[in-house]
Amino acid sequence: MKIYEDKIAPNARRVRMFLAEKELLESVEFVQLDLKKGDNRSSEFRAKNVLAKIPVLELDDGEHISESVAICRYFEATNPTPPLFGTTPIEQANIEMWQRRCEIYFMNLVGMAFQHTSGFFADRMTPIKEWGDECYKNASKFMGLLDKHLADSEYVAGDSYSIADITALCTVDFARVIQLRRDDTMPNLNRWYDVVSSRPSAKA
Amino acid sequence: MSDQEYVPPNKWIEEEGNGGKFASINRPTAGAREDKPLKSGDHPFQLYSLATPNGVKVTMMLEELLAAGFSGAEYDAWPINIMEGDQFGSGFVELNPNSKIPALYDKQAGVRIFESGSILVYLAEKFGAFIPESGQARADCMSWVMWQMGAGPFLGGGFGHFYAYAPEKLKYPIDRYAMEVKRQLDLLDKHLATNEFMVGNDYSIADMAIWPWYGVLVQGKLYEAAEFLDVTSYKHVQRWTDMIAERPATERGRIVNRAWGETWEILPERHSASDIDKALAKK
Repeated sequence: MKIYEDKIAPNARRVRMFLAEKELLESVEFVQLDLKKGDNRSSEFRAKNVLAKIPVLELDDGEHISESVAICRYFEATNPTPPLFGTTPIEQANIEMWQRRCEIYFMNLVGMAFQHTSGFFADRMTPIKEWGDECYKNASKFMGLLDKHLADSEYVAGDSYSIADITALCTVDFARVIQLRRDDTMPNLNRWYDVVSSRPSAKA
Repeated sequence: MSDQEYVPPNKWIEEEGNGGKFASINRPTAGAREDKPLKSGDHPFQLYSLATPNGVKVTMMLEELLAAGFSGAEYDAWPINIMEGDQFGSGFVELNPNSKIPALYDKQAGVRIFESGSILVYLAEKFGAFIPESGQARADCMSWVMWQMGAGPFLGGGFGHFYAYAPEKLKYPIDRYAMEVKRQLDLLDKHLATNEFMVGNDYSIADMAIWPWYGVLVQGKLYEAAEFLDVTSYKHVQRWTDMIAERPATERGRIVNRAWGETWEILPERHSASDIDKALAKK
């Protein structure tokens, strides 16, 4: 099994953390692509993922799966223990809810703020600074909302660690590139951050 | 003994071995007889078993899961020599207080499972595979698994014991159990006349529970009773047996923890897919 990724990308880290939690890191060979240089835009790589995005999982039989959460779902099915998408119906729904919230209203916005304010990918897209600023504002609001939520919730989606924590942690760390940072007004977020970032998977 | 009518005493008393095949290891008490820890490997599942019909159910399932891409079903299979009494070692008894193979340990979940039917259900539920999701089909699947667990002892402990293992051939028990086993085969034959597999069109743990006993029986490989039970007359069971025998996972699973037979089907321990490949390559 191979995973094509760019180690610095937050979505690549999500999948590596997921594999680390499942103790599966060593069963996968990682192939590095340099996104900045456009390694991912070759026709060879587009044959693996029509959207030319990383990460892409390549199975031994040649099948490809892209989209980080789809890749995580594959490993959840092949290696159900420990469960990171929940087991009971309510756990599964709660994790799905927070996973989607963290992805749509936090991770995507931080990504948009980065792409539209930094010009990192100006060679292949049209950055719109105002849009980037708007995304930054909303991502910042979500960070505050997450802090309030974590006052009553040990992890992002309830009592146990899940894919939602992985998405949230990768986003909080990645948000430094747009100067969006945690501060002393967010004690619950800080409490949670200390716990999840000290798990071995955070270093994956 | 046989020329005298047996009058049971008021209270049963244990006597020296009665001469049956398992007489030397059978005792009327349960529990560990010696201090003997189990070996453990690196894979998520540790199986302690033997390639008897009940053992083969589980290795067929594990190989089917691996063939379907569930890499979390990787396993180490350790042999339990039931004629040597390995099943009474303290380590095995901790996994299965009933001292019968197979016993399975799910290392990551820290869960022990015994009884082959229970192991099949545990694995099917854990991976969401080889069991219908809901409704009548799921109920049928569970019903047939439970049917096998209840019916099997009439074939093994009843017919097989008195026909093949008992020190003397007694007409009454052989007649009684031959009648029941033929009724069971007729039941399966009628069911399989209108169903491709035990549960409709999909291969499931119901097939895996039943095949190692009733499939192998109609192949003529159990108790040398093919002619006695007229196994070739069960045409639909024969069709189903051949279809399952041809599955690669069946061929692989049936040799795991096997210590007898042709050289290519002997594989006492299994720690990787290549262990099975190497054995089968001798065919």
